[in-house]
Amino acid sequence: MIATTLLIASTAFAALQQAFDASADWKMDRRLAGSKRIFTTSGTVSCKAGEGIVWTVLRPFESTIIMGKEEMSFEDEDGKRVKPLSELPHYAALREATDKFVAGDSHAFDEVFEIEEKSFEDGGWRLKLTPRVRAMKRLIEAVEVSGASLPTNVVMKAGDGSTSVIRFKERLR
Amino acid sequence: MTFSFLAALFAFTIKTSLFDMVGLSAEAEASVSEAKSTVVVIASDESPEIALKRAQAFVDELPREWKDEDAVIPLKAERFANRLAAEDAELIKTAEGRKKLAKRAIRRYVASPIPPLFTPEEDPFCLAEHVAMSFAASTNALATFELKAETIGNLDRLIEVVSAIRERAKNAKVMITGVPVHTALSAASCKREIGYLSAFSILFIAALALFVFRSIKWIPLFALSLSLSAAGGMAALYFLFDSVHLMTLVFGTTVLGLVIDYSFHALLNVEDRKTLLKNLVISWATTEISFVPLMLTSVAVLRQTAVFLAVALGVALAVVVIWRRK
Repeated sequence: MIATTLLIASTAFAALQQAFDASADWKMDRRLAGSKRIFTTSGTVSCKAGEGIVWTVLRPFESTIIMGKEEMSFEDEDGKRVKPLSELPHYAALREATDKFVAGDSHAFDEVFEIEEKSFEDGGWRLKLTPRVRAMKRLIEAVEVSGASLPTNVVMKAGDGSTSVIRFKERLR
Repeated sequence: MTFSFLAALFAFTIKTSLFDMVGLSAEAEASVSEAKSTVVVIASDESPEIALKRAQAFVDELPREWKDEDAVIPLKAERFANRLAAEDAELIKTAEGRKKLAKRAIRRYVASPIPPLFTPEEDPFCLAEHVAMSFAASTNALATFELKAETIGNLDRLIEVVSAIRERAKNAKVMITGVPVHTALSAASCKREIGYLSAFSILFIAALALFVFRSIKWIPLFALSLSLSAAGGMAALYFLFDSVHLMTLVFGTTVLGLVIDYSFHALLNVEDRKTLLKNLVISWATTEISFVPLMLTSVAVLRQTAVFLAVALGVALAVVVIWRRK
């Protein structure tokens, strides 16, 4: 709780809040469990406060994932498939916490994650988020978010051992 | 009431489970004998450990006189990760569909911002994830135990024990299922229905008889016909079958309406005895013929019902024939 409270006062809070209402290019390196090969994909992400996140993959193929308020949709060459969040309880919990956070609730993620913060002298920061809900740990074991005025790097470790490193570069709207 | 009395009189072994209703070969009987006494306990929680503990605690807390301690089967947790979403189940049937699934799986594995739930080795087409995520909030833990043989063999005791276990299950927030549970519930329901059906039929017949005859002269013939035909049917079951299924007794209540038909004819056609008997015998014969195919089926409860009704009708006809000799 102390770590969370410190976070709220830090620049990380402002940076994260801003990130949930911004657009960026991204490049992701993913290493799947049991594989040495790293798969690199790239695209754009667009967040709009209160509405959702549009994750567009541009290379090596085109597809779009929209994490909306009530549903998650997947669009690719086969068309669009929609999945209501009521069928995806953990995504729904994340979505709800994110909305509260963007609205200014500094404790929004307290129930979902344990949060550790580290600040650097150059104004940078790093947050380590560990899921509190045991069942969610299979999906995400830990997430490290780091940045300065905006988050620029996200490292995700999944319960099965796969890792994803995402680098963001802000786009002007 | 009449049937319960007669069943007690003939000291039947009354069977109640679905397996017994169908009737099984000796080989099949051996393979399902364990299922007949096994109760399955299901506990749910997002944590597999808690679900397992809850299911185990439920089994542990049951009185020893209810369960067979040697047959408590180890617990296991089930995450529902191996079921397909309806759309995926259709796609995987065709080569074109499998191609689509493979492409979707690649996109999911390498380009989704959320890490995949399974590895490509575990789930190459990424089919389990949708379903697993739907259920991820809860894990179902299963524990099974067998009820004691003497409980399974005693219907009243089985109903009593299963009712008590169900009540405890509500408080412990677990669900129970299995053949003994269904057996006890259906047996309790059958017993009630036999009572209601018999009472309703007798009351309706009495009201109709009072309306038609405007007297009580029908009572001796009706009572004799009903009791002797039911006894005749029961005796046939006793001698031809090792045990009787409870559903046979439920179906058997239809005998009330069938046998009383002859008595009505006997009392209404007072003048022309010869024609009456001829008509009754033809009617009886055609009805009996309809039971023959049922007697030849492999479904135990149908065979028993056909034998019961056939013999009961025969006795009812005999009672009427003898009555009209007076």
